[in-house]
Amino acid sequence: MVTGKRKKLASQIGLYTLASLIIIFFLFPVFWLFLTSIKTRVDAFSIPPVWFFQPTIENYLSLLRDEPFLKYLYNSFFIASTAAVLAIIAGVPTAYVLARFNFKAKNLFSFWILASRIAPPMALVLPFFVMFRTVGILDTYLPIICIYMVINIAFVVWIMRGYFVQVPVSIEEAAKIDGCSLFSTLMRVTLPLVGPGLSATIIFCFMTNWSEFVLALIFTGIETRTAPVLISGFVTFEGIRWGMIGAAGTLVNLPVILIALILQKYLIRGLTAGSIK
Amino acid sequence: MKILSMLRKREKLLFILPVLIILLVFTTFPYIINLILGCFHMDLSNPVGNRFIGLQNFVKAVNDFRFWNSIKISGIYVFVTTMVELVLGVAIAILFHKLTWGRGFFQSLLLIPMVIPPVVVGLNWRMLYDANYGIVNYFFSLFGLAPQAWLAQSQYALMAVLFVDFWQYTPFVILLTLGLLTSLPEEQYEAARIDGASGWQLTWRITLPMIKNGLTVVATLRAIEAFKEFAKIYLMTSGGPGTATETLNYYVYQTGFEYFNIGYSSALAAILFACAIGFTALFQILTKLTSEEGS
Repeated sequence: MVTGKRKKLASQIGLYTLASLIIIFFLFPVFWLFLTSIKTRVDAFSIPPVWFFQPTIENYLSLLRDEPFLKYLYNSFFIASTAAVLAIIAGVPTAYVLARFNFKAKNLFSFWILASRIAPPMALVLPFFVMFRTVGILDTYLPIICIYMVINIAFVVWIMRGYFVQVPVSIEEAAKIDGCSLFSTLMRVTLPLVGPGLSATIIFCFMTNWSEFVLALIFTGIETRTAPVLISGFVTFEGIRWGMIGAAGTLVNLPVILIALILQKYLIRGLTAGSIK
Repeated sequence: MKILSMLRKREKLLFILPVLIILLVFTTFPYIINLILGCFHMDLSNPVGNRFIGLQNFVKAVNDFRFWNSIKISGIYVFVTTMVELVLGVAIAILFHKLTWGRGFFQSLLLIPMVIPPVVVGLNWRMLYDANYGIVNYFFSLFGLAPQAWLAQSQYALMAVLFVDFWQYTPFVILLTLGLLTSLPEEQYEAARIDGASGWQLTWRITLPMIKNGLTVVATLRAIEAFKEFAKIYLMTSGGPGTATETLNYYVYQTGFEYFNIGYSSALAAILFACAIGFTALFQILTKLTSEEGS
């Protein structure tokens, strides 16, 4: 009996050690980035790497003082949230219709939406550029907000449809008998029931937009740059400013990591976008 | 009143109208522009020679070594990342599933790599891979291995970039597989255990077949995302050295935004789009198959 218990304990210890090592591997780079951000130049470039050192906040101070970091952070926030809200407003009614009704071109319509989620943005970048230049809005927030909204819409439709399907139709029947229109049924009855899912969806759209880099690189100007584009600018011809990258990277990471930890249950569902039950 | 009742009838159409218009304006219309641009010789650095040339850009692609190379790199990228992440992810998920306490804690930490913005991931790893000061070389030196310029040597660059993808997205597979594992019914395991099946047999004969359909979807999602990958390559290697890490996605960007060869870039983008649509169709067929088998 005792040996059996011991064996079990040993295998549990082995299991937890292995699991911890795996976690350390996945977290190490992020942690190292943070360490770099609080090191002096000398410490950051020392070989072998130093693990214990006098921390400094000089990189953070310099980031806030010498770079337009706060302004670009605000741009990131403004663009990401506006696009997310617009995508919700446009996408939720469609998600509802797809969840509740059958119509002739339904499959084609769904496929069309899905295609816009799957197609690499790179396939659209040149025409977008031509379109926005023709309209003359390249220096404004509009192009990047429109593009993010389009990317978000497919996600919103897909995931909100999943939430709507779960609401039993019988709950809506009473509202219909009272003569409510489709719109007021959705707004007063169904939408409040999927409230948590809706909030999570907005937040994921926000996270996607907050992190996006390539499109922001192409479609933002000096006034509308987002924080990720600023970070990529620390790779200069004279060298790479690791301390600044560490500081800015850590600050940009912080909100998404916090959101992910708080909303992990919804996030895992969001990652599959309704394709796994 | 008449207008109101008409609106009632058309309410469903009104509901989908915003998405309909947005998709028309921002996806379908640009794709058409893209196809038109693809039939032009259009060079921003030398605008005098711009003219309609029909399908010549597509013919050019067929004879373009770099195009075929980029298809090969994209293929390797999609196939290797999907397969490795799937195998590693499932193995680690099965391991984590055995943890009796604290699984939720481990699970939430795993979310971190995949939510980090790609720009940070790319530069973070560029720092780790640095030939002179990078910690990867330091770890290798502990084992007596010579330092390498991981991202600057063509025999290592692609591998190094792939490795970062493994790091970032294996957690994705782990978490989704854990989701599949926790939803499995207990009864079959009980029966098999009574029949004297070992842990390995349980995994191979019962667990894997039962989550097979779910894993197909996970793999498809990974493949789609891997095909879109751009930021990590842009920030770590810029497609180089030479063309060692130049994916189709990246080649489209280069021809358009670095060489200003708009016409050719558009033609390549059309091919890229066609590949993606192929993926979409495959994805739909696969999900349909899984949901039919499941029900």
